[in-house]
Parts: sequence; structure tokens; C-alpha cells
Amino acid sequence: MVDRVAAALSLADRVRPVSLANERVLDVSGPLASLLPGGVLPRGITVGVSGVATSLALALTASVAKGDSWVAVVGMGALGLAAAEESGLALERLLLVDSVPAGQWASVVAALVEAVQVVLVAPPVAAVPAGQARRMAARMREQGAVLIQVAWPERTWPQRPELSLQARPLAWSGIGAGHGHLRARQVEIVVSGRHGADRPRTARFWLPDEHGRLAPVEPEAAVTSLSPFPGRPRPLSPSRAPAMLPPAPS
Amino acid sequence: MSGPTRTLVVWCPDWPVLALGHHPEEPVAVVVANRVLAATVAARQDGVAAGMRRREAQARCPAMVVLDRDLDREARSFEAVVAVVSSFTPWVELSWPGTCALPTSGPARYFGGDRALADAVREQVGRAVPSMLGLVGVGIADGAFAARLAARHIPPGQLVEPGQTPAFLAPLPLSVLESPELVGVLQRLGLHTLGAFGALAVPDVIGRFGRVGERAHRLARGLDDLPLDARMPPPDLSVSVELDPPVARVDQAGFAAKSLADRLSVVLDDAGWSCLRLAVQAETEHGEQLLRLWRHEGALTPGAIAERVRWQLEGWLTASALNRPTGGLIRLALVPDQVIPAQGRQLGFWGGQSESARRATRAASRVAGLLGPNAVRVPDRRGGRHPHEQFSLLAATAVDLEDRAARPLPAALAPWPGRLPLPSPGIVWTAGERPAARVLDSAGAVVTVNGRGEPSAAPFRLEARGWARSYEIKAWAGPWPVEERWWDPAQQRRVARLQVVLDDGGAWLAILEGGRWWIAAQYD
Repeated sequence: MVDRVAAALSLADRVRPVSLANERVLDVSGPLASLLPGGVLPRGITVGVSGVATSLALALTASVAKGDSWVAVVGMGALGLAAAEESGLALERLLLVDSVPAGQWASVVAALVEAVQVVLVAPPVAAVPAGQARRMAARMREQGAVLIQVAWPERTWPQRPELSLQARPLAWSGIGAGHGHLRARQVEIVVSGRHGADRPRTARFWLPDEHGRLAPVEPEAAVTSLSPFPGRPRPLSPSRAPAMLPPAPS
Repeated sequence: MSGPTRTLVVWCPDWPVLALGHHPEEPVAVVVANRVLAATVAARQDGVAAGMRRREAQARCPAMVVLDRDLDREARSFEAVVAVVSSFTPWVELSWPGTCALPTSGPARYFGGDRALADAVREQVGRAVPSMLGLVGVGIADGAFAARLAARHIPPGQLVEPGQTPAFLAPLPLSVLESPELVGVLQRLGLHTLGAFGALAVPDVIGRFGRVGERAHRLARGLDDLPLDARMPPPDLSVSVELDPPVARVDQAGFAAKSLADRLSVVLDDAGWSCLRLAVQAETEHGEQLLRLWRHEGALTPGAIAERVRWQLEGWLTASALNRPTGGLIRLALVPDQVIPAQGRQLGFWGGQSESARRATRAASRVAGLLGPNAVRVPDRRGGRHPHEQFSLLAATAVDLEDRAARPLPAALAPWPGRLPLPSPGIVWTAGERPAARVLDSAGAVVTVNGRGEPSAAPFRLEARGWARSYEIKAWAGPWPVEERWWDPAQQRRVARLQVVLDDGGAWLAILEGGRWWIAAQYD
């Protein structure tokens, strides 16, 4: 009997997957954890970030890249490094690749994911052919890194991301007609996509708060009148992005 | 154990400045992190000293030219000095650009004694590098450490006689040990000279200060600074690579150096050794054999090995026509020539020396191989009032990423009054990229800002190049004027900065400079 149990146990041991699905995740710390399915980010996925894309991408990266993990930023030459630092990113473990020739995206990202856990990309429109994007996604899965695709104006990714985060700006506080300064912004973050996020989840955050970080909004502080913008906040319509286009940041 | 090797050290004072091609009579200083690293004789005569703040140095010597450090160039140009010294003996040992050492036993016999050798070296170096004439320091003593100090502290024509090294070292201050933490503790214990420290009993020093203290104690007593367990390694630790086609360009050489250095560190890691002295050997198309020894106090890390090999190859390839190899390099070999068992390095509080940093270094060099050496960059804090000035970018392949990842970027040295308040904008354009804009008042006129920083009217609309329409300004703050470098007509700059929130909720930073508005940043 004992033998059989032992045999069954050893068999169970042998057929166990090498790595369990729930081991292949990155822990998410901070307020974003409550919004993501299971409070984690599966390794190897592509995340799309839109709305106030830069702040959200930085906040997400900072809450995932912990310990001694490195982060690479590709194709975002105009990224504000002070904002990156305020969001909690460790600048001493950051690699920046400003511009990548159109045919080289897959090889550059493939080289980077060997070393980094998170890659932020914002490639110019049509810079990445669909075939290269698929190869990159496969490489991501293999290496267990997370690709965050930042929807800067005129920047696109050929494939639909598996998880999508959108931050709709609601209102800035601290600034008036000629007084104060930009102090903090309330946003509504919507998470949708696969991996247990089929039903969109929504929550309000300060992004950035007055220290440049992401912070939850206390219920009593939630904006009601949405001043200084009267009426309902308009979600960022796709048409807004090109309209607001500053000359493509290179 | 035999006594320390009789060693001659050639020391080129102010090398960081002179390597940049400036004459000692010109007032020039090299500044690192806002502090003077080195200055020419002319600048020092005006009271500029190493370690002084940049501003203070400029106040003392207003005509002084201030330059950034260029370590690669220092290493490259030092090859001219080393080429001269190596005509005395091939066993020249480099530890850092500006200093090299050689054992005197052979050449001294040939040239007729230590004194004659020192004079010959001094004269030859002065002839080869005219700016060093009369400045170069040559010291001979027992052991490289004492010889280095002798090169700095003893007037030309004198030297430390054999056996007199402890007596020469005894009155010197502890600061020459260049180990600020240890020296700080010793000074608080009431020890101020090498002699006083050297008089302590060895077991006490080891018990209290461990390995670091033991090494410093050996130096202070004038003993060889080579750790006792340094030994010649078995030959299979060397790595080599055949270069086909031959390498004659500096950038190709740098790439070969990097990959070979990586291989060597893997070999050393596997065998459990740390490398103290490394021989860089190269062979050219025409059969010339080149050899240099590089030594490191402590042990060479993978990044440090790569850096030194790159310096050496660049030094050879960019040397003057007389010293340059006649053809491209076809073979490159790295031979660790003194090793000690790897003790592991003390990790920094933030993890240090981790596998992830090593991987990042490899990834950076691979991307640099694909896109060019400056394609991968890392941020470095520079300080400044404007968002685009606060960081500068360094090529990742030129930086020791492992060393860098060990601690957070140092905080800005100055508070930079007039900085914009937090939070900082997520998208920042540099001066060349920023779009032109117009801030209009309700009457449609461009808003101007007067000398007291007041706007001519309340900003009402914002339009910018590339935008499909203009936007109504719902909220604004500023304009905050800032006047920089008003003392310098060529560089002075007056800028007014205005934060605006537009009718679609977007927030932007507009700046007024030279009578024109620009979009400087977006709070995305």
C-alpha cells in the first residue's frame, strides 16, 4: 500500500508541469494590483496602454519591475526621465534605445528581453510588420518578459494587445486661472482583455499624484463636478490623438 | 617570500588635462561632477586645486577653460608615453592612464644603475611628449606603491635607496592609501601617518579591519602590495581570437575587445579566479607582436577588463605613425598573468554585481552591435531647471553597467531654484525638436511676458505646429520667468514657462523664449 502511494506520488511528481501557470507571473505591487486580474501580470504578454499613456505605462512598469530587474525603453526618445524617476522607476537599471530602423525591431527587442523584464515600446506607424510583431510576441513568451506598448500619437503596434489599460483623464487639481500649478490629476483606469479580464474593470486613481506617482483616490476626494471642465469628461476618442499630435516625438 | 620588487614608476601629473592636448601654460581644468579633477600648472598658480567646486575654481581663474573628462582619450594618448617606456623593458605595467610601472632590475644594470635609468626615462618621456617636459615624475623604490609615491613626492635626481622604503613611507599622511573609509577610522583612532599605522601588530589589524586593512597595512610597511596568494595561473586561462578580416578601426577593435573580455571573465569565473594583472597581446598582419600589462588594485571585474582592453587597442591603433602597428590586427589574446582565488566581492547594499546587470551589459552590447555604438543609452543626472536638461544620456557600452546598477543615481548636487514643481511632464522635447506654438489672448493677440514676469493678458487659446485645431485654455499657471547665465552674453537665456490645461483635458508646458512660444513638454 505504502509502495503504491509512493509510486503514485512519484508519478504525480513526474507528470507535474515544469512550471505551473501561476508561477509564470510577475507580482504587481501598489494600487494597480487591485485592478489587474489576480493582482499579477502573466509573464510573456503584451499590454497596450492608452489614454494618458506615458504616465500609465511608467506607473505599470514601476509596479512590476522590482528588485534588480532591468527595464528597456525602445522608440520613445522624448520620454521625460524625471517623470520616470518620480513614478518609481530605477533609472540606474534603465536602457534606452531611441530610434530603431524599421526592419530591426524584432532583433533589437529580442536582444533586450534576454536581460530585461519589461520592455516599453512606441514604434512609429508601420515600422513593425505583423510578422515581426508575432516573432517578438513569441520571444516574449519564451523569455517571460512583458511588452508594454505605449499609444503615443502616431505610434502603433500591429497586433492587438492581450491586456489593455486605458487611463481617461478626468481633471487636474492645483491649477486655476493664472494661479497654482499642476499638482495632481484624477484619471479613470479601465482594464480589459483576455487573461481573466474579459469584463472590464474600472477604478479611479491619481495619476500622477503630487509626487509623480500613482495613488488611489479616496472616495471623498473623487471629483464630482469635474472642474475645471464642465460636463462629463470626454473619454479620449481615437480622433483626438492625431489632432493633438505634436510633431512625432522621435 | 622575497622582498618587494624594485620598481620604477613614471607618473604624468595632470594627465586628464594634458591628454586633451593642452599646454601646461594654458589655464585649463577638467571637471567631473562639478568638481575639479585636474588642472594645469597655470591654473594651479591662480589657486585652482583638485577637488574644488567648479564655480569656485572659475572665480579664482576666470580665464580658465573648463573641460569634461575624456577617459578614453586619456588612455589613448598615454600610449605615446608607454611606447617610450617600453623601449627600456617590455614588462611595462599599466594600472591607470597617467601612471605606468616597470621592474628596474634588468634595465638598471644595462643603463648603469637606478639613478641613470631614472634620468634616461625622464628625458625620453619629455622628448616624446613635449608638454610633459620637466613635469614628468619618475620614482624608484621597493614595490610599486612606494615608487608611485616617490614619483610624486621626491624631487628629480633623488630616489629611495634599497631598504629605505619603510623610512621613506613612515612620515607620509594616511590619505595616500586612497581608501577614505579606512583612513577615516584610523584618523579617529589617532593614527595620522603610514609609520604609525604600520607599527600596529598584524593580527590586530586583520582582526579589526579584515582583508582591506591587511592590504593597507602591508603597503604602509613598505611590503609588496601583491597579495600573498597571487600566483601564475595555469596557461589554459588565456583566451584568444583570430580576427579575419584584420581589424584596423577603433570601433571594430572595441567590439572585439568586449567579446573577448566577456569570454575571459566566463573562463575566470568557471575556474574560480580573480585577475590582478592582465596581459593584452596582439599580432598584426605583418607579424608584429604587441604586448601590454594592465594591473588593477583589487581585482579586475568583467566591465573593467573590457574597458582596459578597449583602451589598449585604441591606444595602439591611434598612436603616432612611428609607434602605430603597420597593419591591421589579426590576433588578439588576453592572458591573466597574476590571479588570486576569487573571494567574491562584497556586494553593495542594493545587490551589486548581480547576474541581471551582467545580462543587461550583454544585451546592450548586442544591440550596439546591431545599431551602432551609441544606440543604447543610459540616463545620467546632470541637473538643470528645464525638464530636458535634468538628465543627459551616455552610451551604455561606454559605461560599466554592473557598477552603475549597484546604487541609485546620485542626487542632484544643487537644488536648482526655479525648477518646475512636481510632478514632471511625461513627454519632453529638446530644443531642436520642440514644436513652435502660439499662446493667444481673448482678442487673438499673442501673449507676451514683461520684464517682471507678468503676461500681457490672460492666455486664452493655444495653437501649435502640427495641431489640426487650436484649443481653448481652461486653466493656466505661470508664466514663471527664469533668467540663466545673465553674466555671459553668449549663453544668457531668458525663458518664461507657462503650464496650461486645454479644453480636451490635456496639460502642456509652453515656453516663451526669444519672443516666440514653443511647446516644451506634455503632461501625458
